[in-house]
Amino acid sequence: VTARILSLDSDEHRTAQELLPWFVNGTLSAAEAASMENHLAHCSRCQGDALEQARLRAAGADIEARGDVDRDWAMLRSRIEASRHSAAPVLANSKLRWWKGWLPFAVAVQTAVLLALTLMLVTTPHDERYRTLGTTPAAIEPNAVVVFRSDATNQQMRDALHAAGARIVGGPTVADAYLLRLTTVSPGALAQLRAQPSVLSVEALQGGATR
Amino acid sequence: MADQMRSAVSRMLDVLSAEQRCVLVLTYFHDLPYAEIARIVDCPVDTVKTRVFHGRRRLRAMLGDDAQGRS
Repeated sequence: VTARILSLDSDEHRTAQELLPWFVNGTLSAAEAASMENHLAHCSRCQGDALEQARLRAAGADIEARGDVDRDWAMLRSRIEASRHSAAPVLANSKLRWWKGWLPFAVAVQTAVLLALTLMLVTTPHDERYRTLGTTPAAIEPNAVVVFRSDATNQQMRDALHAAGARIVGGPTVADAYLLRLTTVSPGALAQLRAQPSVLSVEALQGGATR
Repeated sequence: MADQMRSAVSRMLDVLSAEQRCVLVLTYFHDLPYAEIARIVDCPVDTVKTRVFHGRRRLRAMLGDDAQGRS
């Protein structure tokens, strides 16, 4: 007869204690089960534990354990999720992670564009004059007035104006006179215009009538 | 006796932490191997063994107290 004395603190006993629940439920590998059987053959402590766990297993067979497992698993899942979020506040979505990487660059570009637009706005000169659609350019000041003969044709009138270098800037008035702007108001210019056959009279507005 | 054991176990399981209760139930009442339990609860195999070991010890202590209380 051989006998073995094992310390309860030995590695073999500790390993057997850890594996005992799965020896009882019959899910150990063949090698592990064989090792457990060898240990149980001479360890009264583990033999007692094995019987105790067999009773526990038998008792639990009638307990509606499935609901408990689901509840416990839900709790574990929530804890795991909570610990993951608290340990590293990472963005779960890959698109968001991509956006997070580009966010500083996008903000920098937007800021640069805004600064450029602001500079353009500040440095561009503005025409502050107030204009309306009815505003007309300043009227040309007439410097002579002419009265054409009543039988003068349009062609004759145009020839006279071209020859004197004059243009009509107003008229006809109630007396059928036309206001003219002569390039130069000189006696010679007035005399030249007066010599035209279509002209009845010419008068310089500053100097008075000369005919 | 079996009914007493059953009710005691059910009551004591509620006292355990969720981690211990989960691995004990999967081990004793669902007969799952430790590797499968580790995969289910997403932790190392050694952690499963440790949780079952300590959970078992707490159960044994509570059952002992319960037996003394009844006697």
